[in-house]
Amino acid sequence: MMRFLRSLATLAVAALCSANVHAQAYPARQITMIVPFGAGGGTDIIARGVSEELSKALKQPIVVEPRPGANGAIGSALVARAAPDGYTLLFTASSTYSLNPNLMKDPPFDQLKDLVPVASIGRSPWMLAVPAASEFKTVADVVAFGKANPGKLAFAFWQSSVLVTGETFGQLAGIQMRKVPYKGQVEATTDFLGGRLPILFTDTAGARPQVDAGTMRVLAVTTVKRSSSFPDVPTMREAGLDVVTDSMLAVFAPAGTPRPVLDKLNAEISKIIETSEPVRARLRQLGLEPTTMTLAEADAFVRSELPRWAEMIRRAGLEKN
Amino acid sequence: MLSDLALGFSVAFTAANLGLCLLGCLIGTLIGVLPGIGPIATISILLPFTFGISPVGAMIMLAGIYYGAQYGGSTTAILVRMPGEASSIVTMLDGHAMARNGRAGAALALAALASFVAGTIATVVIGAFAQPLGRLGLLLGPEDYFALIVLGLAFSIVLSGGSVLNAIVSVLVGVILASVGTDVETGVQRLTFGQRSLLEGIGIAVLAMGFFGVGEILRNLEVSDTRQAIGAAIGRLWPNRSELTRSALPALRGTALGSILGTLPGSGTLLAPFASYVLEKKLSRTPERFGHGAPEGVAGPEAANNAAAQTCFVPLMSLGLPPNAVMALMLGALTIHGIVPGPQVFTKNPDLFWGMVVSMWIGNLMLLVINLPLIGLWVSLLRVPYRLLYPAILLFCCIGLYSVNQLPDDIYFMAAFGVVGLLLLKLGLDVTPLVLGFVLGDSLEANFRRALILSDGDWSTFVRSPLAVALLLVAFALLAVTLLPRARSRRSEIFEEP
Repeated sequence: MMRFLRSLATLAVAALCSANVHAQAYPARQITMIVPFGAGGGTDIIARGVSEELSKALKQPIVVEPRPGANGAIGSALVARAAPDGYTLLFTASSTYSLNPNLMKDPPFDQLKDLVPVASIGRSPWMLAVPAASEFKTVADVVAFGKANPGKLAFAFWQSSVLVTGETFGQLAGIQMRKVPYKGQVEATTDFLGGRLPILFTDTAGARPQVDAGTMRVLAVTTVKRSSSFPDVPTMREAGLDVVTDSMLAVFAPAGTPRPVLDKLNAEISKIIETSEPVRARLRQLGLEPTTMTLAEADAFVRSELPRWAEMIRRAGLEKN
Repeated sequence: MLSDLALGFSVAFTAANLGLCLLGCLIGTLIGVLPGIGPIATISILLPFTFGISPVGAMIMLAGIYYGAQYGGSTTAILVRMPGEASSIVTMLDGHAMARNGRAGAALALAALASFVAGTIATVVIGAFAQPLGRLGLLLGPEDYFALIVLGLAFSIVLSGGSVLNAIVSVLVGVILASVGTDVETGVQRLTFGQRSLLEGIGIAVLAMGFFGVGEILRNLEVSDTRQAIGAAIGRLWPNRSELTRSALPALRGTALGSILGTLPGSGTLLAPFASYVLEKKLSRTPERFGHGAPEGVAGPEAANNAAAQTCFVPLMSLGLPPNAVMALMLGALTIHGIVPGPQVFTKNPDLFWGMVVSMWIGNLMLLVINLPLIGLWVSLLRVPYRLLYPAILLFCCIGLYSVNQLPDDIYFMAAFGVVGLLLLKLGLDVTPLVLGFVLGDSLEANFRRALILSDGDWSTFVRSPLAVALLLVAFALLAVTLLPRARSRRSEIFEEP
């Protein structure tokens, strides 16, 4: 509705006076923050929390729009081809900027040429979870079952980092698993809780309510260190498997966005991540370690993640398609 | 339960929450009436503005927007054959026919009354059975959903006028149109012909507004005098006794169907009005009146639609698993307020849950109060000459649609679908099965694929679930009966469209 009125207003303004549009400083109007994953998922929730604070700092409304599909490629492509004016931003996880370029034969855009990193938000692990009533008590139980019953285990994926986590786990543990596509984590969790999926790779945000409700148990995390929100859960490395597939949430803008705009966004977002207690609390509550980077660091990080995931994808035996 | 309801009333009856409920209902009605802008876009835009108010207040307002939109969507469907929401496509069939018969006021009143009755009953159902109802979604696997959708599509074939073959082709074209865009599993582009604007697929708003809104306008360009007839025959605004008695039972059956289907993830809320329409047509002793302005065809689906719009909150609140995109946004809203929906909501945040349940009923009452007096105003819109009304509708369609994605291509596609809609109409093809095929095509494919992967490619998965078998058998029986020669001749007399 607001946008409808806004469009009407824009039409009216454009008709009445077309002169003094470029004079104002950034941001002069509403910013759209695209989240390339499903509404209500971990990335979406964090994007909304950060955008709320950012909106206060920039004194302009920010609309968070979930545009799920194709492992986040659909929403990312939308931002990649948006006008580089700082009014369309992408709030995304590793899978779109580290994995998709390595996994897609014909990506709809070039990650390094069409998008620039604006700021980093925080790191989070993937977690191996089982239903509360499952016979699996440890990672070793899952591996033993998988070895005894090849092809019996199935895991859900809705973005490529889940897919690579699952495949890397299967590869290193020497078990064969089927992979089931979902449009989002919520759908996958529904089937998991309905007893149709024996294991689930989930993010901490998705695991928290179910673990609290006693419907899900977490067996391992895929970060190098244990998660501060699940201190009792061992890492995959502790369990003897070198599965490190943490995800870094980050904000991107279309390439060609003016440097002053990028500087302003990086400064404001980094300040929020470092100082805003509500945002830090929410990040921790959802299992993310707040992490900030300068523009140069973020650019170097994205460039280094691409080959790291390429290697994991090669080891996992995934083909481009 | 009584003490719970008392708690709910004490929460919902504060001045602030009543005001938020009213605000939500008003916004919802408005976006429901306006084409293109749906509750998803509205709620995502308004979400940040709810951060400052209490979680209960935020949920009450957002919920009001959602079911207010369901009310408003029917208004344009009935008056100008333009479904404001995908869920009001069914209401349009007989609602607009009633309007053409000079019963626009009665159709609007019936829609509002049936929605209110359904909303009231659904509120009680949620209060009494929230926890067991929430589990329903978990019991169904992808094979069951696949079968349910097949049944829905079979319904739409049986429902449609004209030849069965045409209807089947129509559904298939709809499913194919739904597959346009980037594939979820592989990221492969399907049927995009290199068009960037097709990467995300075709929007339901684009398709429905093109087929129904623009198509209807194009068709009416030929017949200049029909409208004057409507304008002259507006007559009584309220439903007469016979219309009310005919509608009572369909509304109750619609409520029951909607209450159950609403709790199912994915397409439940969309299937509910279709299912109700088919049921009423089957039960009716005079099914030939359907499509020509049967009040049952308005009351049943409207009730089903509104009941489903309410019970779809159940899986969200009881399991933390939202059954559709609007509910997913609600989950986001709750999480931002630091509330984690799930089984503990009943014990941890009883004020939130019961406050919302009670506010739903209050919201329905408000919508009735808002909508009934407005009927006269809406109907008088029909007196506006076509040469003014149609350009206005087209303008609203264009602005509404453009505001969703800011893509000019959406407008071109809407115009193209308008022309296609007119052609199909000229050829005597019913576009309703096409639209349903389009709406359900996505989940049809996703669940089919998922069921086969989960069963390791074993096709018997579709016959191992008793529910899936039952649903598929009903679907095939429906089609077989429709294709039999005797039934076919009977069907043509029953289902003939004007």
